[in-house]
Amino acid sequence: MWRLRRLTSRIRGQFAGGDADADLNLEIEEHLRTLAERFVREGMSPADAEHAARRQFGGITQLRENHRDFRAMPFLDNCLRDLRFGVRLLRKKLAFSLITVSVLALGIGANTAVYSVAKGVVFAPLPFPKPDRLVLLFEADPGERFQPGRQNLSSVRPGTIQDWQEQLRSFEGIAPASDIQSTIVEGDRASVSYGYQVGQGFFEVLAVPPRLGRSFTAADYAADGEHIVVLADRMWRDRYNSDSRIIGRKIMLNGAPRDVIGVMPPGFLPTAYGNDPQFWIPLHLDPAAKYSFVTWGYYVFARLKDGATIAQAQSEMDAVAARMRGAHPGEFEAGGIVAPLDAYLFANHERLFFLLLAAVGLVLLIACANVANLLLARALERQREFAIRSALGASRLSILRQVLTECMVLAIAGGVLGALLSPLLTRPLLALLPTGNLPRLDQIRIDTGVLAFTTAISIFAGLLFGVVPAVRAGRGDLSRALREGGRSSVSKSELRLNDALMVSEIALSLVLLVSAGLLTQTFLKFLRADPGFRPEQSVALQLSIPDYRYGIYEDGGKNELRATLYRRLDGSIRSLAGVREAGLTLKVPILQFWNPDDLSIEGRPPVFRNGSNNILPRWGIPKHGLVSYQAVSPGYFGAVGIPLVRGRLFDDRDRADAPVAAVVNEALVRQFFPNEDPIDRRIAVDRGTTFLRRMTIVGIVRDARLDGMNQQAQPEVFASMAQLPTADAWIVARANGDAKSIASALQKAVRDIDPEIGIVQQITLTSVISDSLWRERFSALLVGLFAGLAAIIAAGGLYALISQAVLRRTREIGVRMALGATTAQIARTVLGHGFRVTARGMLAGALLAISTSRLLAAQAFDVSGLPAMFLIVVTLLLLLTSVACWVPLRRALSVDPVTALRME
Amino acid sequence: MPEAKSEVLQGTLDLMVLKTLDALGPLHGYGISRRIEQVSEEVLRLNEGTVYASLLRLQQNRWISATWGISENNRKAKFYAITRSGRKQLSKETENWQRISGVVGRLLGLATGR
Repeated sequence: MWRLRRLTSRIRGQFAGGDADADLNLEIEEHLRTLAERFVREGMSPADAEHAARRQFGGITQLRENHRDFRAMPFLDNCLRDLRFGVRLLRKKLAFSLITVSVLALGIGANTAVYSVAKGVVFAPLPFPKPDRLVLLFEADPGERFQPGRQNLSSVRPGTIQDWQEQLRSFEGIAPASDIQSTIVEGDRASVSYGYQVGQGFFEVLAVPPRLGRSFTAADYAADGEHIVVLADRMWRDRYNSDSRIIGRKIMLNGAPRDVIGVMPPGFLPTAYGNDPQFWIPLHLDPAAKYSFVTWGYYVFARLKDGATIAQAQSEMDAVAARMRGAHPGEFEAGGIVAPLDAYLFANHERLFFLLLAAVGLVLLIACANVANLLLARALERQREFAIRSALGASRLSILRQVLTECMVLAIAGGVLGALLSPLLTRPLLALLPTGNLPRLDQIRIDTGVLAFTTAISIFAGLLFGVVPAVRAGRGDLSRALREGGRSSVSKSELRLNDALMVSEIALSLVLLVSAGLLTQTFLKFLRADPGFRPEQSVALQLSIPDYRYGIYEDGGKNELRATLYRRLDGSIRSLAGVREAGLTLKVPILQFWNPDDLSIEGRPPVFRNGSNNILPRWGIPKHGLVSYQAVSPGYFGAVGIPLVRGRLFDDRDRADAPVAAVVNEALVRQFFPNEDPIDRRIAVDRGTTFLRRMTIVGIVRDARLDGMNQQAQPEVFASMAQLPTADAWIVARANGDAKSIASALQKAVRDIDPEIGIVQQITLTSVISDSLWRERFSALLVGLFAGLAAIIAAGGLYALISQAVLRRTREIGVRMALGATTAQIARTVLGHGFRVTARGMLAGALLAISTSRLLAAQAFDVSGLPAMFLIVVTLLLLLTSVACWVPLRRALSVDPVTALRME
Repeated sequence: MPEAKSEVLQGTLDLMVLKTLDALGPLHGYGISRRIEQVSEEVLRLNEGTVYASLLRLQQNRWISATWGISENNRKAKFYAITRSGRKQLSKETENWQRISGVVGRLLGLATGR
């Protein structure tokens, strides 16, 4: 308590300065006078009395100082004084300050920009209460575990959901959701929104209340809740202008009216992948489907009970899955995975941003080393100032404090400028990212958390580059510094320190340059890899075909409406002007991902593997391996550019009533028919539906990287769209000229046939490829940018270092020239210094780069070109060194011996 | 910090100043010095300046208050008076002092009478 009281008086004292001093002086004077008067009364002479009084009173100056110290906060006083002094000094050396502050601002600004993006996208917690309790449940192979970064986990079947809900005890709630597309028609244009059908308890699991209205209740599920919908904030704002009277209004979703009963708050975008949901409708499973293990496509959100851990939940899941395998033989042979929601969504991106933060952190480190070197050089210039200060009684501590304060002034100035700079850096950073690949991009902003980060790294940087010159300044040899009359004398160890800082700058730059090179190489390797198809001039349109017009439709079943639609669409797009070839397809290259189905080859015996005879349970036929399946119309192969190797492609023979044909790729032939002719062989593909696809192979096409540029071709089965129509479809078309030239004609063709068919997206195949490599491109570009920045900063540092060395040795150079040294000898001295430092830096950097490349290799980056990259980077650095040494060298060579010798 | 080095002496002086103000009522620095001189009977040699340091400390703890007034020889002087919390502190410190001096006294008595 009294401590607080004393503190408050002190704070008051801090601002009440002058008066209190005067008061004290008056008191002391009065005291001395009274005391002296008394001594006079006792018989002393006035002069003696005054002396005696002073003696008895004790040290007046000391008392005054003590008083002042106690009254206020002298430390603060001194710091303020140092601060004022520091600012004045930095203003005086304006060029120096500007260079240092801008180097720091670049470093801190880049760090702030990267951090703000990283924080917005991955580091910020999910916007749900206790987000660490939220998990997703997936079906998987028995014993399989969640690995952060894996996103293509299998969805879940209704029967599995039922068993999990009944048997799992580790969770407060388990709620399924499945994504649906909804066509919303306005005027003559149909647009498509993504939403989720959600099971009972979904909103309770996520524990977020709606901002308007209500979410679904048990009563909604008990009654037939077909007619209600909850909207996401974005849809409410964009489509309904944030109208608060939206509750109770009817909107048309997929051709049916639904009452809006609630609107969720912004940021409420629970998703298992990709698209942000725009609305939620209740999920109703009809009783027959409830216990079915046939259809897939559900995501399961769950909330762990308090106290339950992921590991406990996983082991309970294992036990339940084992019981289920016993209860549903032939239907459920899987296990289950408990995946933390945040790790599932962000682990991939987290790694990317850690890489970028590490790279940009290195830039700041290099900037700090650079500033430290500049400050060190200046500390040498100021040796005399510090010597005089300590001669006048300044303690080492106060000199240290002064130097550190100056550094802090620099660091804070750099930080403020960096924070102002960072939004300018963030914008191009975001422009490099393709939309739709990173979650939460709209939530990136410079908020208090980011500013706290900026402040922290600024202070850290200030301490980092300030500590060396501060310790140096306090350690100067007093008498020598004074004796030498201000000519700076430099000890060997100080020079070594200068060089060491420079070596570290070069080493770190080399690491960054090599990493940037490797990342670029990886990107280019994938970009330039032969995709096996010809993406140029091809464009793809994703269609959303409304169920309410063409019927709910099981993939491959009979549906005349849909078959007719596809026939009409196919005919219409193929006859368009400017279109060379066009077709319909279930999947588009690269955007499809490896989601395999079981293949069975007719007439081939079952394979016994892993203690199982590998029979497809529902069909009683053997399974021989996994293939990727899709249905296409005849024009697909030409439009995508996949050439025929043998046999034939689809044509008019493959009508709905003809035997079902299949085209396969070379990878399938290699894997399943290594020594046989596959043409005319009969195969079956189990898509996990009520319908088994049986086909006869009629042709073989060349392998293509359909699953991603960084994936080898997988076995592929193409069926004919006319024979086995699909529920979803894309249009692919190859133009005679530019791919974009035919896009609007294609859109019009679709609208002319039915304006209620939505066009979800439209992309060129070239952009599909480069977008799929966004991660590689983004990291290569950014790390490249940072490496360039680092190299420039380091080169600037080297320039300053060599210049100072030349300046310091002007006299020596003069003497040597007077004694007959040749230009070559002088040049060797100057350049020798520069290259010695560079060589050491490169050696240290090479060692670091080798271990860095191991880290990169672990992140699936291609590091095979490491030696070549070293060669390039070393050449580049040597070039930079030469440039940095050039100006100081010329200055050294132009030294006039006479002037140099006179210089004192 | 000088405060830490001479804590005992300061504490003692603070106690004496508090007691003086408690016994004699509001008094100026000179008066306090005279009173301590009188009572200590030349045993304590005191730099009278330190009294002012003590007064500042006591003021900061709000144990005494200060007002400007007119001294007995008709000159301007700062008068210090003990506050309510100062009295509380005084009785606490007095008790404390007596306990400690008692212990120290007993200890010293034992040491000589072995």
